[in-house]
Amino acid sequence: MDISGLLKSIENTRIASSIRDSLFLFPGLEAIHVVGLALVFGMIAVIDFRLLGLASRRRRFRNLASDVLKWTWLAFGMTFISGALMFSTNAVVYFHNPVFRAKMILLLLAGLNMAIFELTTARSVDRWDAAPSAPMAGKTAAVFSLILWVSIIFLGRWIGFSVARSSSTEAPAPAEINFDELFGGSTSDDKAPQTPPAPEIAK
Amino acid sequence: MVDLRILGLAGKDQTLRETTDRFGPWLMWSLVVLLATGLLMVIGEPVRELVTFSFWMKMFLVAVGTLIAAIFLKTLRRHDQHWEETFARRFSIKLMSIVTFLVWVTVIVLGRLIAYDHIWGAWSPAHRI
Repeated sequence: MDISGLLKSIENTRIASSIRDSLFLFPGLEAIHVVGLALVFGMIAVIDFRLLGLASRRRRFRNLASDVLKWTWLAFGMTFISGALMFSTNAVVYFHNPVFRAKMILLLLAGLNMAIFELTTARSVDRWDAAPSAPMAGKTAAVFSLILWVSIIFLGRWIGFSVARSSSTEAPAPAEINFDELFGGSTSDDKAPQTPPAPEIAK
Repeated sequence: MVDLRILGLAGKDQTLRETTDRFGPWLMWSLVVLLATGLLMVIGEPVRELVTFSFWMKMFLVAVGTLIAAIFLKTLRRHDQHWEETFARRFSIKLMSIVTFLVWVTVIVLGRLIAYDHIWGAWSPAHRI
């Protein structure tokens, strides 16, 4: 099945259409998403500030990380599931939305950044566990992480201003990600769902 | 993090006082930033917020949450040891930490629902306009 067929079939699932038809479910999912992301970002910031030596300097990194990370993953799961459900309600439009795509790419980069940190700096944690800040590579990872997560939150909020809900437009279907369109142009065909600002659309 | 510490679910290698000293100032400054940016949003689009049930309920809960936090920090500072040894083990205090967590979660949820105030039906002031 090609990608647009897949997106269509996601939109047509029972769960997606019941979210679309409900007055409460979409706002409810949004609310869960915001609670989840606030927890995710807060916990990640605690870790990153520790790496940078800006806070919790006297606490062993490992103690802090083992304390915080399980809650982070729990909150991330909550955010991911609510996000996926919101995506399912209008998969075609979200998929072709440049802001949404940029957000997904930054999410992947944040994951990559974390994986690199875990595979390199975190391996030598014995050497700097009690030090007030991490070695340079760890600090770099922390700075990247903070920038990426702040950007992800910004882009996420921006999606809400750039997509009108449940306008099932026949979006053109470029199967590959086009990077020019992705960062350069929210101008051309992606404008379709923005047309008249319907009053009931929530910002 | 402070609530988790009281519940004994995180930060057990630190005293309660150490935990609040770590997070308290950050929480306070974050609250200041949130209030300032929130105020700007209200000034920018007053009708959108001021005629919603969610907004006023949210403001009420922000006040409640801040008050609880302020009282907690004040008594903790006065009776450090006492909190560590007895208060924090009391069921009522643990319950209180769950309540404050829920207060802040509700604040977030209501914040998002400002945009969807119609779900409150007749409770929403906008309903009467």
